[in-house]
Amino acid sequence: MTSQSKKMKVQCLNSDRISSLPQDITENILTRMPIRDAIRTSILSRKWRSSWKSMTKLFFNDKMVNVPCNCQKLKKYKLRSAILNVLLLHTGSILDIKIEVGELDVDSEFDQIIRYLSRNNSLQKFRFLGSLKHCYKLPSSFLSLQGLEFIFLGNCIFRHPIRFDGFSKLRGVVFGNVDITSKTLQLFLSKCPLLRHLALIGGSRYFARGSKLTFVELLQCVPLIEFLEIRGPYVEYLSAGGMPHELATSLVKLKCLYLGVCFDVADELSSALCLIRSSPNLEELGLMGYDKSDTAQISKNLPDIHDYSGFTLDHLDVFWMEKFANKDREVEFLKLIMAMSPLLKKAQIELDKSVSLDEENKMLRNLLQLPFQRASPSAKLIIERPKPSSR
Amino acid sequence: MSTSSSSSKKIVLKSADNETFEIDEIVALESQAIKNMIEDECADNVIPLGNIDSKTLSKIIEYCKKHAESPKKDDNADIDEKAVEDLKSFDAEFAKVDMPLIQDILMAANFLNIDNLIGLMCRTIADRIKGKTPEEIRKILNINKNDLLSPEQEAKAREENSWAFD
Repeated sequence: MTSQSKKMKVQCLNSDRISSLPQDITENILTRMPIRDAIRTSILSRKWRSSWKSMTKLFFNDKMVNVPCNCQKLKKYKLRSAILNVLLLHTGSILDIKIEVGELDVDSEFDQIIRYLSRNNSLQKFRFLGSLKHCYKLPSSFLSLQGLEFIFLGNCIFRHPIRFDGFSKLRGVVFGNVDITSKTLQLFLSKCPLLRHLALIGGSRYFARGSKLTFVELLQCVPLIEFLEIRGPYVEYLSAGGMPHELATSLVKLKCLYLGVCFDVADELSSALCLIRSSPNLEELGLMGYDKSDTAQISKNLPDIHDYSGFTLDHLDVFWMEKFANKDREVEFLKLIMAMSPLLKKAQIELDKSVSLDEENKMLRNLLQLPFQRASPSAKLIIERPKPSSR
Repeated sequence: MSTSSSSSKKIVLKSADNETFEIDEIVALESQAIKNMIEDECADNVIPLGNIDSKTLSKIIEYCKKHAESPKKDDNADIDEKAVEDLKSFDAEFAKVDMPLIQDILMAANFLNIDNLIGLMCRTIADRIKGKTPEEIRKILNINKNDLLSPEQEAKAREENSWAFD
């Protein structure tokens, strides 16, 4: 080692190198810790004093504030004022906001936060997870967040707006347990022309009220759709009345489809088959089976899966089924997909917990002994017991 | 793995203390900065890295080798979970070094533009300081005493976000 480089090394060791890091690295570090810790760095040194103020991603949650005696009401107001305080002191542009309120019953007192955010158009990503017991009703100021490219709402109420110009940049929407009527959903989707990613998960008490929305109508609102996930009661409402064999316009952009489906209900089965047939460029297909609690809904006449066999999925890579209860129709479905997908790499089946080990054995033996057509000779067929924490 | 076959193209990196490291081109391509240099054909046979010492550079090469060898997610939808786990535990082991070296690696990774490594080092620093007292953090990060806030400035900073300090 030369004397010069030795000197350099000594200098390096003695100095606080972290202070010479560029702001985006400091921000990277700050974003990887809870916001409370990130903000507490403001007293470390002069360099750290205001670093947090230009973080572009801010993730708030109910755990960031402490209250004595765990009083929920006090916690709610403290959380609100802490979030507002952070937003007021923040000096740069905010691109990504996530707010999780845990079990707090937040109401209109949180509207001020949304109103504050709606003053600038820089926000690209907005995620709000309300309390499961008490959904949060979004204020109309939410609709002025015109820079949004991605929205995630969980446990929220979305009411029909008086005026809605749409989100012109929006590319992705995830609604988890969002209370919205079918009419409002249709309006919302039809005014987001760039939408590529849509997930509708969980229940919606109001969805079935008023005018009906079918899968066909829903899909007409989202011509660019690449990723579609629909499960829970949405499937039942959207598929009511059944679907044609094939859509008039194919979903040529759709690459990934995750669908909840009850294999005992004709409308849901025919909808799933129609969607798959109409998506020639699918790369990943996932089906989540479920049972109806109301057995009156079970159909007597189910569509014959073999009637749907005249198509191929030339791009399908991965196929998976969850909660596979080993019903005849599920097995037929699996065989149909494997027969139609020449490039399939993997078919992964997660058994429902109702499937006993004996039944599993029998099923495996049948799959081995009774030959069925596989378009892709190299496709792996993986059958697994249910995992303790399912997707 | 196939990446270390003798016929593959080699790149030589030279550290600040004049040590040279011959590596496969595919390993060097983990660095976006070197990748750009190679693509723009402005990389000579030897790439001098005047601000990275040999200790840091050899750690970085160790990281890039492992990551270049691992199957990439988009190549094959069926990469086995074992490979992912393996890479995870490699990363965890890799980050078990002292703070000065972490900071050196972070600075070098930033210079070389190795995204995953920047992320890993930032996460490591964040994990080491979260939940700690300001005094502990100053010690961990080796913050210069001359750079501390005056008592008045600190009081003001605490007051600004009082909710975070109760």
